[in-house]
Amino acid sequence: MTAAAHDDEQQHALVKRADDEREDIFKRYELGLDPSNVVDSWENPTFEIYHITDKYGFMHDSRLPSTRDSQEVQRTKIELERDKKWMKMIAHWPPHPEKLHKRVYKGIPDRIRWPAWKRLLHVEESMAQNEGVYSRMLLLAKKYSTETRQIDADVNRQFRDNLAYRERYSVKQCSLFNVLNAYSIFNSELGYCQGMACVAGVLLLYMQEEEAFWALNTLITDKKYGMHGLFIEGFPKLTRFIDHHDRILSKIMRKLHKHFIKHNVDALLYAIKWFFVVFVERVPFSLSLRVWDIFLLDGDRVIVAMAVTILYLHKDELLRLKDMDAIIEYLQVKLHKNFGYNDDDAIQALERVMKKLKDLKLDAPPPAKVNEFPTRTLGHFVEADLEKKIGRRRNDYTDTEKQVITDVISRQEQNAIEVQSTVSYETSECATGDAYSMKTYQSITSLATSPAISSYSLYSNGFVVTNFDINNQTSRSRSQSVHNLNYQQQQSQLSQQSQPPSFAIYNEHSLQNGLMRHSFGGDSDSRNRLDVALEALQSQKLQLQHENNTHIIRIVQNCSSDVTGKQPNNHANNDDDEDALSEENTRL
Amino acid sequence: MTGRNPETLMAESEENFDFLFKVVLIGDCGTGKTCIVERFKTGNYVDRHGNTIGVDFSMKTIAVDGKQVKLQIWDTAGQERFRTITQSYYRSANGVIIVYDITKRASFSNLQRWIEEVRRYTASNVPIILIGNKCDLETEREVDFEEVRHVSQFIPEVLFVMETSAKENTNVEDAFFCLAMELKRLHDSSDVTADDDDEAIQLGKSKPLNSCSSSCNLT
Ligand SMILES: Nc1nc2c(ncn2[C@@H]2O[C@H](COP(=O)(O)OP(=O)(O)OP(=O)(O)O)[C@@H](O)[C@H]2O)c(=O)[nH]1
Ligand SMILES: [Mg+2]
Repeated sequence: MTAAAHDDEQQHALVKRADDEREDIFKRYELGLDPSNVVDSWENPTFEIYHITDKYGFMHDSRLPSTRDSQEVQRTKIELERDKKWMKMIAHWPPHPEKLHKRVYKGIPDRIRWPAWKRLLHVEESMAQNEGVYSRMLLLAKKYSTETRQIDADVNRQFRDNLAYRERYSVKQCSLFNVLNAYSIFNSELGYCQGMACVAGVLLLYMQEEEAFWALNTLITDKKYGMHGLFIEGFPKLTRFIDHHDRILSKIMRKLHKHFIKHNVDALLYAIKWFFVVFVERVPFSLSLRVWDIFLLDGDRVIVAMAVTILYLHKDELLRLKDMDAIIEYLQVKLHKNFGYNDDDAIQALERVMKKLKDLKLDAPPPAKVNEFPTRTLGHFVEADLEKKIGRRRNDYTDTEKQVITDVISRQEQNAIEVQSTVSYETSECATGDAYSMKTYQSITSLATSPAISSYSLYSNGFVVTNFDINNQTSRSRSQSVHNLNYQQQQSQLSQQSQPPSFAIYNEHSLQNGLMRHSFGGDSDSRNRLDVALEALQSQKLQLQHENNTHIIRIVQNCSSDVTGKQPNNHANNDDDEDALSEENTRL
Repeated sequence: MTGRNPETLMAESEENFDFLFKVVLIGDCGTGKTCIVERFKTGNYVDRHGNTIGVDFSMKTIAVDGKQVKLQIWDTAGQERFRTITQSYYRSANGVIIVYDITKRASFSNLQRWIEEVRRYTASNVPIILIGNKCDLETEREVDFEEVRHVSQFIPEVLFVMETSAKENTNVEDAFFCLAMELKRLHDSSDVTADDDDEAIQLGKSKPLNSCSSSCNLT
C-alpha cells in the first residue's frame, strides 16, 4: 500500500470513529431519562436533601441569607400585581415604548418572562417564518455536526446546580443538547462556542426547545444583540467591547483603572465571561435575569453599562484589594455569591450609569465591522473540513486568528507600558530597608510573571530593563525595575519579527548553556541584580537607536516625561476628580 | 461553587513568599483542567462548575524545601477557538501543564499540537509536564500510560508524565509539587555558575498512589 493510501485509510478510520462517537452521544440524549440509559452514579451531582432551592431552581449549599428570603417574598407579592398588567400589555403588543421601558427596568415578573422574552426576541415570528427548519437542522446535526462532543461535554457541566439541569439526560439537558447541535448546523460559520451553552441554557429555563432555538438565533444574528461577533472565531466584538470598556474606565474611573493596571488585572480576564453570557454566573442569578430583561429590550449597550456599574458599585472594595488574585476572585466568585446590593438598587444604578454614559457619549462602542455578522446563508448546510470532522486541533492559523493574536499581544504591550509608570510610582513611594527590598522584589516578580511584560522577553534575553529614572541619581536603584527573564533566544516566529533592543542586558548565566532558567531571585539577590544591571546599563550608555522598536522607545518617552514633569496621560489628572459619575449618583 | 470571603482574601494577599512561578494549564476541553486546579487550590472536587471561557486565574502557595513558593495558575479554555486569547498567556509562563483525558484518545492525539503551540508561544525550553487525568475511570481507559511515557521521551521539554484523578484526589498535589520543586531547582541552579545538565533534570521522588501509575521519572 502506498503511503498516501495508508494516510487515506487512517483518516477514514478517524472520521468513522468521530461519526460513531457522535451517534453514540446522540443516542444517549434520545434515550433521555429512560432507565436503559445507564448513568454512572458519579455523573449526577450529589445534592443532599437539606439543600435549599431558590425560586429559579438553583440549589444552594446552605440556607439563603434571610434578607434575601424576605426580599424575595416581597418581590413575589409585587410581581403578582405586575403579572396582570404584563399579561394585558403582552396581549396588546407592541406597547408604548416608554411604558415598556419603565416596566422592564422594574423587572419582568418571573412568570411573565416566558411570553415577554418571546415577544422581545420575536420568537413567534421566526417560528412562523421557518416552519420545519428546526427539526431539519436537528436531523442534519445528528448526521453531520462536528461540535457534538464539545456540546455534550458542556451540557454535562451547565447549570448542574439547577433542578432542571441537575440530572444527567434530563429533559432540559436534552433540549439544550439539541438546540446547540441544531444551531451549529444552522449557523455553520459560527458552529458552537463555549458560552453559547450558558445563553441557551438560560433561554431554556423559560422556553420550549424550538422557541429557545429561535430566541438564540435572534440574540446571535440580530444587530441589536449581535452575539455572533462575540462567539465567532477571532472574537471581533469582544475586542471592540473590551477596548471600549477600557476607554470608559480610563475616562471615568481612573483610579480603579490604574489600580487594575498596577495589579495586572486585564479586562480580558474578567470581562469575557461578562460579555459572553451577559453576567450569568458572575452576579447572583436573580440579578442577571434583571440584566437580561433590560438587555433583551435595549440591546448590547446594556452590557457595556452593566460592566461599568459593577465596577462602580464595588470600586472601594476593589481598591482595597492588593493583588490580582484577590481582585479576580472578588469579581469572579464573591460577586456571584453576594452582590452586596439588592437587585433593585443595582438596576437603578445601572439605569443611571446608562444615562451618564449616554451624556458622555460613551454608551455605544464604535460600530461593528462586517465580520461580526454571518456571511453565509443561515440554514444552508456546509460540510465541515477533515480536521473538524475528526476533532483535531488545527495546526495552521487563519488570517483572522493571526490578527487577533497580534492584537491581544499589542494590547498587553500597551498595558505593560502603563505598568511601567505605575511601578515607578510605587517603588518611589517605598521606604528603604527590608520593606523596600520585599516590595521591589514583588514588583519584579509580578512583572516577570505578568503576561503584560512578557512581550519584552520575546525580544530580548536575560535582563530587561523595564524602567529607569535618569534624573534622580540617588534613588536610581530603587526606581529601577530590572527584570530578569533569562529567556533563551526565542525560536518562535514572533521573535524573528524583531531584533533584540540595544539596551537589553544579557545575563551571562543564561547564555552559558542550553538549559532554560527562570530566575526570580530572593530579596538580596534581586538587589544584586539591580546593581549588576545598573552597571551594565551605564556601560551601555543606553543607546536607544533602535528606532524600529517602537515599544521600547515609548517606554523611554514615558520615563523621560516623568522626569520633566510632563506625566503620561493617566497621570495627567488628579485621581480625585475621577468620578464623572457625579456625587448624587453615589448614594445607593 | 466554592468561594472565600473577602477577609481571608485580604489576609492571604499580604502573605510573603520566596518564589513566584507562573504555571499555565492547557489541554483539550473537558479533560479536567478546572477540576484539577480547583482540587489543588481548595481541596474540593466540584464537578458541576461550568466550562472555562477564556482564562481563569488562581494562586496557591506551597512550601518547597522550606521556602514559600507561590504558584500563579492560569487555567485556560480548551476549545480551539480560544487559542488566540489563551496563547498570549503562555508567553511568560515558567511552566506548562498539559492535561489529557485517559478516557479520550483524541485528547491524547492532540498532545502534539498542544506542544507545538507551547513551543511557538513560550520561551524555549519551558518545562512541560503531562497529566493524564481521570485515572479513576480505569474501565474506560483509552490511553496507556506506557505509551505516553514512551512518546514523551522524544519531547525534550517534558519533565515528567503523571496520571491523576481530580475526582479521587490522586496525584494532584504531587503534580504541582513536583513542578514547583523543579521550577525552584531550575531557579536555584541558575544562580550557581556551574551547571550540571544531568542534575538539572533530577526530580524528587514521587510515590505511585492507588491504582494510578505515576511517575516523576524523567525523559
Ligand atoms: N471521573 C472523573 N471525571 C473528572 C475528573 N476530572 C474532571 N472530571 C469531569 O470532567 C468534566 C470536565 O472537567 P473540567 O475541569 O471542566 O474540564 P476542563 O479541562 O477545565 O474543560 P474546559 O474548561 O472546557 O477546557 C467535569 O465536569 C468532571 O465531571 C476526574 O478526575 N475523574
Ligand atoms: Mg476549564
